[in-house]
Amino acid sequence: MNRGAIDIQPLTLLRELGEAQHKIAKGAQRIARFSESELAIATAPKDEIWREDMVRLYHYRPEPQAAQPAGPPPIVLIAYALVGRYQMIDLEAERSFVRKLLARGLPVYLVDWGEPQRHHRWLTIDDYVNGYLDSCVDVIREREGVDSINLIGVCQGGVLSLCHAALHPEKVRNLVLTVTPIDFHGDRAAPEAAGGYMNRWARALDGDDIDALVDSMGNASGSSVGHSFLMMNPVGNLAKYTLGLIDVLDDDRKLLNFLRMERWIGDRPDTTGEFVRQWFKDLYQGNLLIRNEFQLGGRTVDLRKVTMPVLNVSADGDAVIPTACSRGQGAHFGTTDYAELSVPGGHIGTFVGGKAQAVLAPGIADWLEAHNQPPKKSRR
Amino acid sequence: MTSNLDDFPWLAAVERVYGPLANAFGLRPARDALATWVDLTTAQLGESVANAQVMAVMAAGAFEGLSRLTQRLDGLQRDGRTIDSPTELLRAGLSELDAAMHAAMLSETGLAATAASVRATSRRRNGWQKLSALGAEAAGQPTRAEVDEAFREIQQLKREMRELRRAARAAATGSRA
Repeated sequence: MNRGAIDIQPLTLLRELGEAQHKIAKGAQRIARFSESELAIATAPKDEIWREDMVRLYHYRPEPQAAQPAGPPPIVLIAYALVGRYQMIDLEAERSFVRKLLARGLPVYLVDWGEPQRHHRWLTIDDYVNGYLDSCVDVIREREGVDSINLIGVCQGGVLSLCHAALHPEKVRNLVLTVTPIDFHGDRAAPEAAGGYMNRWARALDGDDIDALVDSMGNASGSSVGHSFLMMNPVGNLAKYTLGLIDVLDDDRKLLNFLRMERWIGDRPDTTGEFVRQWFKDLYQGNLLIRNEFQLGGRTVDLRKVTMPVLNVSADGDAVIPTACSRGQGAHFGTTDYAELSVPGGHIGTFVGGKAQAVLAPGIADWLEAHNQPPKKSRR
Repeated sequence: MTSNLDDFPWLAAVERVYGPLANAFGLRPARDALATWVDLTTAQLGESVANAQVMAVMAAGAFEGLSRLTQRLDGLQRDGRTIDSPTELLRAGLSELDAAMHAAMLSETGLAATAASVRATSRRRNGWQKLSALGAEAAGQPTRAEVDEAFREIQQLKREMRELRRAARAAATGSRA
């Protein structure tokens, strides 16, 4: 180790240690003083309007001071990923994607995939797309008296929404994909130094390994999924819980943000075994979606049948879904009305990052309002 | 007896000579338990080796991180600059360690070690499940595989019910029209 460039005086060392100790002591008192209501996440008021098994459909109560759109507002259904809870889109009031859409006067629905139990291990992607998600879409269409609604899919929820749009295009007026993998091998041409772990892990295994994993595991536990995410960035996480935490201990707003995020991170539901099997074998390994060979319930998901307008949102610094897997996919869809929106931040930062707040919800709401008209004829 | 006893010659010899005879005395469950236990032990050993390989990759990443930090400090010294804060030094170290660890874990060796660890964990889990299935059978309880099969059939029935319900609704809508 080169000691020539290190000039740390004993007094500096003692001073910094003292400062850190003082911050930690004060910070611990601060953390203990926070009330449960201050730490609560996903507080936008909502009502359950439908449920099947562990899946629930919520309708968010309209914002009293919301903008009044000139015509009927775009009706939105949000489908979050299965590996995390939906609370991320309403983590805290000031950084709530849902509240921002409500403030624009949009009716917002959300599908909560719930917490699968052991007996749900045989639920496939088909069950989620043609079962739960399709039922949610039908319930909303009937409740609102419309033929089609707007789907917003997040990450895995984006893949489910995309499949639904391809299989039931008549029910989807506009499709918004956020941080969604579409070309699962897109990263091969543009590997990233610290991203795309899941893509490369999955390809380092073969189909039999996935079978053995799912057969022995049943459902993928939330904790094992959480561990995988931690292992994508072990040193970053070490820094986050040490130096990073000390940095925010004297700032109530940042500390609350940290603690609320931890609540969300620590609450991962299990993912059903058959979903995991298909997700890894057909998508991460086989890349069948982009090849129009992905089979759901005996039907092929043909992306050329995605004839409604599509807005594809990606994060500039997404280490979970490499941008090469999500961006520039317009040519695969059947629509000519395809647009992309880039959001500053990482995979989760897309929804809770400070800079993303001015881009994501306003961008999507503007686009939906501009596309709030009956579907046009497709080009294919 | 499905266990690979080749690694244990004496056990294999005894098993081959007296195993079939033992069945006549009702010792089949004990033989199965022994075979499964041998498989499980081998699997657990394999998992430990695989995890050690992952740790070795991470350790190599950590050493590389240290080496990168040294190079960074060399660069600072050449420029006539110094680090005078322990926190700053820690941040510099973590930053270099982070980059080196990502490179190590995403290298061919790192990915192969991770894959081997996943395989070994599946084998170990499978071994425990076989052992507990033997216990369940001995106690007259349903095994995991039997319960899972029942769940699978229920899910298939629910799926068929969903399709029938949809078809009935579509037919009703059609007849009204």
